[in-house]
Amino acid sequence: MNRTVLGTGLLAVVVIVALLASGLGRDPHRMTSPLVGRAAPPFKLPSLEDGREVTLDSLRDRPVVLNFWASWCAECRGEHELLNRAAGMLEPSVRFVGVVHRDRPESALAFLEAHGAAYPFVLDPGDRTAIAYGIYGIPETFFIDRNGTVVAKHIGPLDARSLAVYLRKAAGSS
Amino acid sequence: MTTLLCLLLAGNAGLPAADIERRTQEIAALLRCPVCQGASVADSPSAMAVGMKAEVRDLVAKGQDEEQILRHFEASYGEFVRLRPPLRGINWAVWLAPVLALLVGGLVVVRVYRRACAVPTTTRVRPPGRLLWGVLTTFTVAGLFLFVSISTERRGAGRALTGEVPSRRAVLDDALRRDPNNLETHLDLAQLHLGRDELMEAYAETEFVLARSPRNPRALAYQAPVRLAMGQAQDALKLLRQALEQDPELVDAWRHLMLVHALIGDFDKAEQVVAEITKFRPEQEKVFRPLLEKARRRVAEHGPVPESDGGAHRRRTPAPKPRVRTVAGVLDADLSLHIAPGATIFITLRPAGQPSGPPLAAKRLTAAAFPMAFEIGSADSMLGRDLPERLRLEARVDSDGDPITRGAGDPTATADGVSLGADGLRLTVQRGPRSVVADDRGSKLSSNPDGGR
Repeated sequence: MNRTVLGTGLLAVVVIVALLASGLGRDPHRMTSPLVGRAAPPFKLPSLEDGREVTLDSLRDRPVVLNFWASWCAECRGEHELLNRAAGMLEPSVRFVGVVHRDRPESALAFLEAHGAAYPFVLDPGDRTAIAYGIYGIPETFFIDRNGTVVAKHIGPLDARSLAVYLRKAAGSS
Repeated sequence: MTTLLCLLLAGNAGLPAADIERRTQEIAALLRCPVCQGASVADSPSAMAVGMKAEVRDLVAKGQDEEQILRHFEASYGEFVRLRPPLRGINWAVWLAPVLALLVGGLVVVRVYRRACAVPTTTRVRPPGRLLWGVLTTFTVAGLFLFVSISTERRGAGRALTGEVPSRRAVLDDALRRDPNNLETHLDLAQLHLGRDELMEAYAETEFVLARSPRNPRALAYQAPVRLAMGQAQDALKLLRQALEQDPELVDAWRHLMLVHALIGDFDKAEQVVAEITKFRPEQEKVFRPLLEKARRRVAEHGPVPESDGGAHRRRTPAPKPRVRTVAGVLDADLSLHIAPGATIFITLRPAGQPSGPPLAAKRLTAAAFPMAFEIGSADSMLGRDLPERLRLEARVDSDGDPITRGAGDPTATADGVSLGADGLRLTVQRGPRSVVADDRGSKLSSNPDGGR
């Protein structure tokens, strides 16, 4: 009986140690998206400017930067200049799309008129595209390669350095 | 309204609207709201949860079952979106552990109770088996404790148990957010990029540092491998020699020097570097040797790194920024002042002879141990304009850390007529009008009569 108890105790310890060993090595800050490495969810969304439909399919064959944002979000406003400048330089070899998330179209338009828009912006009625992309909050940006595979997701405002790294990933992975 | 909507949506699946609503609520209660993460989609008032619930309703109406709908959301958000972890993989442990623990605990209690009843109190002795059991348990618990301590130690910052374990990159990014001009942080980042072969990023960081501190040995050393990759081997060697002139013991510079020599096929020189460094850092031989062998294998396989002729290729590389001109020196404080470490010091440059008005350049320093080095130049220019040749330099210890307000008693030191490019200035901050200024390069300086204003 003593041996049974000892064996059970040791087994429990081994299980606990194995759990700790796998858990303690992880970085709990890392938020991975299950979409990375998979096909980007397709979308067909009306353009903010004229209501014309923009689809993911129509952007194929080029890396796509899909940025979820709103004019009321301070961090989105902060990163807008960087994205706009990058789009101005890289379009059309890289396609940029801004998805307006939970914002009044007139507010979004007013902001873009004041600050410029070098790439198309689309509306997301009912947040369907945001949910399909697993959005938690904004800004969130997805980098999709020319085959339509999500190569990276960035949560929070982008900086120039990270943008360069992601773009290289999106351009080079196909 | 909702019922009407449900009736419309229910079309294909043929479910009554009330059933759809009930199923929607049940399934929404199993989904975590991505915005208020402690609440379910059914309970959360957030707009995202409302959108998710509408989507659940659509899927129910289309006839999808609970598992299909949960998987649908899992594809976007991951397993995290399920409030109840599914029975797979490591999750089994979460479900089984409490049951197992209860079972084992119960057995132990029953066993101990039976023993206690069976053995008369007077004859109870401790058998040697029990002693062994006790010793083993103690060792196991101690081992487990040690294991957890070592693991948490490795994770650094003592924050392992709170789950706050940022990566090295995150730590550096965070440090830069707090202090964007910290050159050491930029250099650490450059080093990190080099290790990951992100040469353009490493180049950008070293350029940032060199614009502010043109002779920084680490920046020079870290830019060398980038230059080598650009086909500028001779420039890389020049940078490394400059770096070693500044800091002859900078191991990184020696290592890159060895690698540049090796990668351009000059193994004799690479060997000389190894011999050189092992003279004063013998322990580095076991680091340098394997690297040299690796470089040797690479050259044998792919040939030496080609070198451009310095003309056509060079034009394609990023143009070096114009050399930033600075005023540098050492700031000392009168011992009677007792300036606390962490106090704010503003260093400003104005045109010579102008004791007031907006400064041309300003820099904020944090007081540490005196004497402390300072450097201010066109990189700190307020409007990005070039600085005039003759300047008035002022260092002021600020009592409230706000550059706009100026305390009457703020200890100050000034130097008027300083030449742009002067780098041997010595200033001593004092309270009151008598600021001591000296220049060991012999520039003409005047002690400022109104330094304490």
